[in-house]
Amino acid sequence: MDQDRTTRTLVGQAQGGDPGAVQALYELYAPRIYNFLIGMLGSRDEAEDVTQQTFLIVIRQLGTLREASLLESWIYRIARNEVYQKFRRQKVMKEESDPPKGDDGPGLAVEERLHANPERLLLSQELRGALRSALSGLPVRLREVFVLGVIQGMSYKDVSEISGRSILSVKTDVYRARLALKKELQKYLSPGGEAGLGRQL
Amino acid sequence: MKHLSEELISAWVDGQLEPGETDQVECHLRDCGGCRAAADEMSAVTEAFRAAETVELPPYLWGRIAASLEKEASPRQTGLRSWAMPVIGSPLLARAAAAVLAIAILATGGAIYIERKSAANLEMQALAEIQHAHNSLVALDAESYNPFRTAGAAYREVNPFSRDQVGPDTNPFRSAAGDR
Repeated sequence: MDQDRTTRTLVGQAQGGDPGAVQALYELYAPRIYNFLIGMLGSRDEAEDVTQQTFLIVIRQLGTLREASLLESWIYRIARNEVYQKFRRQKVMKEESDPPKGDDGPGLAVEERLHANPERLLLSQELRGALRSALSGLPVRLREVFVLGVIQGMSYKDVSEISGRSILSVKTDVYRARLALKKELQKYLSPGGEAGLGRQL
Repeated sequence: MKHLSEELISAWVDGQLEPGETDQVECHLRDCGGCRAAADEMSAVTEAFRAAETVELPPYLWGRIAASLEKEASPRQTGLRSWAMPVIGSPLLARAAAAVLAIAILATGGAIYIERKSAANLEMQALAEIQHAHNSLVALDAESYNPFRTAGAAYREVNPFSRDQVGPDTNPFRSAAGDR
């Protein structure tokens, strides 16, 4: 059964009051939402809190969802709204804000991948910090489309629906984000650089 | 050779171009080392972030969410895990509830309407019966029954102002010559 059919079935069951279906929907969508929030917030602790808040809203309002196929973009919009509310509350909406003080943050996968090669662990930690710092340094508007469209691999159309912007605007902002990140990570990109990405990946 | 725009390369890296555009870009990249290098850099950044950003969801997070939902539920409903029964929000159940409510409203309104209509019918029926009784009596004995009759013996017997009843002895307004 593909994910669309699974989602439709689970949404129907959850709307009918099946607690198992509610949990199954959470397990299906929460990992991506959690990673989206880590990318946006730069902190696992904050991402956990916002993931929790997002799914509390989703579960409470699931009955209002008319079309099960729109579930994913609906959850993303709720998560995005929570992020922006959090930014507003913290008065960090200005796009050129300081990078948030993260915990060990994103990058676990890289670390785990490189555990097999201890010689490269130190390098991976540096790279992980650089990626986190570069992403957190992006203006929120660019960070959002980069996380959704590039890191999570969504179509620009879906990003457009979630972010409420035109596809053209998404396309331009993804490019701008790439340009800014490339500049930040230049030393890792150059063939003779101290930690060339090409050689790591 | 004219280079591709970096915005176009960026969209190509993300696989967001239409098939025709994709063919054109890939044809160009085969022949242009500069654009190919730009595309490789963009792809490398993408892959680095995709790998670095995949973090496993904490297993305890669902427990926190479920606990919050249980806490929100009323004490009566806690044992039933009422948070997992979004009855009000369910479109199907909401429609059913709306239908029941509509039926109740219509039934109440209908009862009032029927009651009012019944009262009006009863009134009309009573009037019709009175009219029917009146007609029957008139047909049987128009002379004796007609309360507005002005002639006949019965009338004269009960009419205090009939000429037969009001004689010189009883008429207080008499003006007979003999009185003076």
